[in-house]
Amino acid sequence: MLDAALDVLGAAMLLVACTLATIGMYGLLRRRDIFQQLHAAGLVTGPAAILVLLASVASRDPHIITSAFLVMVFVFITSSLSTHAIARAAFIRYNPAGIADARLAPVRDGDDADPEAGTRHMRVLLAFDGSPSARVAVDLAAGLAWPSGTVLRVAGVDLGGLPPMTDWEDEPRLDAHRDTPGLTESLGSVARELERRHLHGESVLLQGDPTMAIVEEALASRADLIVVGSRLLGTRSVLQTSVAGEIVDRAPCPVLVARGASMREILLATDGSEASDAAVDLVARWEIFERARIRVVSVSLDGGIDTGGAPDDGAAGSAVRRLQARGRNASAETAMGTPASSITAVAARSGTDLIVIGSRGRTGLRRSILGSVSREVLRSAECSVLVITA
Amino acid sequence: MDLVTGIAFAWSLVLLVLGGIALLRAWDTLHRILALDVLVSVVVILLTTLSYVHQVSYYVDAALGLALLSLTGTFVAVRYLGRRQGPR
Repeated sequence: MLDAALDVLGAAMLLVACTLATIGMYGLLRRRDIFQQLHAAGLVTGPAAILVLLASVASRDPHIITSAFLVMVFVFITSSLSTHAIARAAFIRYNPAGIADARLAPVRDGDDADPEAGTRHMRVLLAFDGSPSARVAVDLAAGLAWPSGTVLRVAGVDLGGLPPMTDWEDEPRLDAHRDTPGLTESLGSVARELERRHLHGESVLLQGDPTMAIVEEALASRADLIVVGSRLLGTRSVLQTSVAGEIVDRAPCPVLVARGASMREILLATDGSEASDAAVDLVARWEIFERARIRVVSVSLDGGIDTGGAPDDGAAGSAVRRLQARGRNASAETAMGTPASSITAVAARSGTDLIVIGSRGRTGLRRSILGSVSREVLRSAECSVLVITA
Repeated sequence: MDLVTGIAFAWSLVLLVLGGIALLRAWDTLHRILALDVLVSVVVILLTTLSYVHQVSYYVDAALGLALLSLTGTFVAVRYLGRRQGPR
């Protein structure tokens, strides 16, 4: 009787283990996001392995049972440790703090152009989901004077039941884009449209969480810039998750949040910080800013939010000199008040098409306590915003 | 029980092949590390079922050694990746 019970128990555990391992393996093969893969892999490395080892009781061999229990205890402890280690490495890898050094690298390994000349072709990732705001991003990207050889990679995300890439559910969307064939067709059509405008366009369909899919694609394709559409205005963006904002937080490269199809009038916010320097450097180097009129604005910090930089009235002047040395049409201006509201006020008053701002990459608790000027500007500005994280 | 053990062993072989495919399809170092970690777990399952089939404990001991090596390898690789900055 006991033997039969042990046999049934052992067989049941083996079958359940095989089922769990199969589900885990399926998840590992189907998902692209490392965190989703970790979830699936946990089924194989944890419960499945432990159940197979527990089934040793059915063998009735004391040697096998002893060894199996030793392995089981070992697997019980180590599977969670190794999963945690991989998850931590993935977090560092895909988090701004972990990839800070990779940002704004003038030239990466394998690039053969001269970084000083600033003429190397760029790799631009254009996030597209068929929404009107994504169309704005396409129009903006298509109208810019990219260096020759620049590749515009149009990326769409197959939602698979996940939230849409746009910031609000009520934004009009084309029903055709909800299914993969429709989205694939739309991406191809955007790429062809770019080709017609003498740009090198290509399309790619991604899967998984929209933010992570875009960020991973930017890492994989070593993108220099991510262009994403958004309509982040008013209090709604405070209450609802902004995919554009999440991409800005996690992206390994600068992110252009498009809200208009032009970039002639540019406001470059500076406070002399490292992040501002990176923004100035980028505007001085990138060809797309060659014909723009650049207004460099430094904000007096009196009573304002700490932007991380030293209060320096000469920050705007210094930036202007650097920009003019590279042939840019730049002028300096100083504003008073809190940084974010001053920047957006100057932008609104002067008819700015694009605000360029550096970010220290604060997220989570640090942002809650210390604030983030770039995020505030991103939320409240009516024009496009280019965020460069140092 | 023998029949179920045989099925489990055969199925583990199938999972081993699928794990190999996952390893080959991985486009990134971290994904490869994860696929290898899963592959080792599948081998542990395979060795354990093999020990049930042959009624010997050596295979389970081998599985213990493999799991130990895998843990060390994963930790070293992940630590190396965590120290390196930027896209790979």
